[in-house]
Amino acid sequence: MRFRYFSGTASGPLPSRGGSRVRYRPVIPIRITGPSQFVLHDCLLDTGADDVVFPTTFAPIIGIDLSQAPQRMIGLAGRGAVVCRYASVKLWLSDGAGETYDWNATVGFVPVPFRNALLGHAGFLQFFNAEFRGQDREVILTTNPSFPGRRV
Amino acid sequence: MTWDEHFKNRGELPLAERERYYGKHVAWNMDGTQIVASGEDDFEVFQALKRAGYNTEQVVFTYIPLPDEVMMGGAFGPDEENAS
Repeated sequence: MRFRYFSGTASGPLPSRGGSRVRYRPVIPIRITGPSQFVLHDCLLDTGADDVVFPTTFAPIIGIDLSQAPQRMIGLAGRGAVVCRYASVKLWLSDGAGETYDWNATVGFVPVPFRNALLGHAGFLQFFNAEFRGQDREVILTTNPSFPGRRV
Repeated sequence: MTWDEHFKNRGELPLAERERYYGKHVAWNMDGTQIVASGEDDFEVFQALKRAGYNTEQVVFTYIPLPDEVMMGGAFGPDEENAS
């Protein structure tokens, strides 16, 4: 599956981009299903994240009660240690062009208003081989033999 | 519609309209041609969608970054921190 990087335009030249005003980010849409409904959400492919993480404000939307959920402290870059509560969901990924997968995963929810949900290793990147093609500003995701779900 | 088309359409939203949503969480329609709800977090967006009668499974939730926002994985830069 091929996903083009999402682009954003800054108000002025970006030194790290050689004066260009455009930034590119590997943001892709994921469908997350809980007990009450599913929701499509943009997520950041983050090879530096151990887990798949959503903000806790997202849990009630899909009907997840985190009050009895297992929890642990995690380090979130720029935020220090925060409580992360875990729940099982179904994740669904499609390129919109005929290739679609779904699988079960245990994902984290943190009480931090960060921007894009993070697609880290456990539950996501562990199941895909990811080729970040910087020059072409796209990422190629291919399921690997450990993928536990199904092609839909 | 492919996601490439969806994202391409998002990029064509007029700047004046996009500016209204800087720093907000939003929901796009499935074509990526219109922001149909916004809020300070995903749950506010969800509530706004419900109030307006939208099917909350037929939108894409996301965040509209500030133009000079610097993202570092789960973190974000001091400019954005001050703005939130």
